[in-house]
Amino acid sequence: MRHTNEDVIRLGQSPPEPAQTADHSPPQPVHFDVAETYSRFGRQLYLFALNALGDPDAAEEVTQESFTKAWLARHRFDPQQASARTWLFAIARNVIKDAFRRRARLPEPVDDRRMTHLSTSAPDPAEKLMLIEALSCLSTEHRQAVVAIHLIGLSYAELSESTDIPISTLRSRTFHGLRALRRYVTSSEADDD
Amino acid sequence: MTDHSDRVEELIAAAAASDLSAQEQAEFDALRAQDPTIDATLHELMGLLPGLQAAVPHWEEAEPPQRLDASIRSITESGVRSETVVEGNGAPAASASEKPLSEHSRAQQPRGRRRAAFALVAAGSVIAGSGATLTVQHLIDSPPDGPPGTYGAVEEITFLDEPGEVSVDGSLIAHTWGTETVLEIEGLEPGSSFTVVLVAEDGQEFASGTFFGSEVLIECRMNAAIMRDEVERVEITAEDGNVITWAELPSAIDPEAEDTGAGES
Repeated sequence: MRHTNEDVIRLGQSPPEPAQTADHSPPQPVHFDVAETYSRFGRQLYLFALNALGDPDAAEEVTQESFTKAWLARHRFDPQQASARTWLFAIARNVIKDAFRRRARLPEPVDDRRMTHLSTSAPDPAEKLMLIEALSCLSTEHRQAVVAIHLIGLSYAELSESTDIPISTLRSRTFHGLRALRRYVTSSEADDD
Repeated sequence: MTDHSDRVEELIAAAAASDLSAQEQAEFDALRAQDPTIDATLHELMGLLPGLQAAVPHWEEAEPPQRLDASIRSITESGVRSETVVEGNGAPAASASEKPLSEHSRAQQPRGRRRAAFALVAAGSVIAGSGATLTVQHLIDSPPDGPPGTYGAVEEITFLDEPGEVSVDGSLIAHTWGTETVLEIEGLEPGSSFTVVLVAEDGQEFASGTFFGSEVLIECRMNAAIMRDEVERVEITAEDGNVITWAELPSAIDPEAEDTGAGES
């Protein structure tokens, strides 16, 4: 049986001596660890997909496909150029866009109650996706505060009463959540330029 | 963005939500008069809100399903194997992992089935080459022995009712993360899409992957997030859902429940 480097490479480890036979495996040691990356960012990515697509099944598919693509392209991952999260989310954005395109080709019945909403000026899809991504990447505490105050519209007193968390803590979390969102958006826009 | 004291941060957060009391408003105004960067920060944060509220009218907070963890971890395991089995008469055979993923999702499967199959098959291997004539047993070096369900052991299965020219040789391998199906297939219509489905005792179906029929021998490995001792039947179905051939499985042990000493895989 002919072996490639992939026989013995475990992600993050050095490859063996060059094989004698044709080698179509990654030419360099790779440092993209699927399991570790999923442990660190899997939930964020799933939340991103879930809220972008609004469908748990689709979110699961997108998460799976994003990690699969990342692993298949791991030889192109360069931690000097981007963090694993940045790289993974760049892949996920494309997978989600593909999912949108597939949906766009499939006519869907529209609920009458949504017509008014649909006819109003919709946010730019790229901006919408970026904001959902940014929100997904907040810490759970920061995100929950931002969502409760600014998306659901609770007052700090109402949120404090329902969570038993002091108002001052909730305000601080909201401040830092919004600031992190702002940084994320600013940095994403800079990357796009 | 300027750093502020904790109190200023709290007041900015309250101001951004129009949630300042009269007393806090007076305190905030006094602080703003002393430090113009407070207004700058407030405006930066408030500038984010209209877009955020328009873009995300509703937020769903949820944990990813447990099976996702197992199936993503299996990407690596399956992919490594998929490349080790390449053997033939020269040029490496094309594997599924080298195809665009969109090709793997061509088949119009019911959603429940499609979910698990969506990307696992990309990590699995579909080798269609004239020189790829490994037998299923040879795909694994010195597998552990044991009754069906033993982790890592190769369990040969027999497909029934194979139509016409169709020939399917198959094996199952129990893993801690689910069940791997290893198939050698000939005679299925080239270009048509087929699905490997593992059926549980309660009738629930777990898609393990899709592949295209080919004029040459197809070898493939597919994974499903169901434990071997829960699988009752393996089916290969056509795009329209019709079962092409199927294998009834014997009962399998649960290695962890019975402490058989079967090796981890």
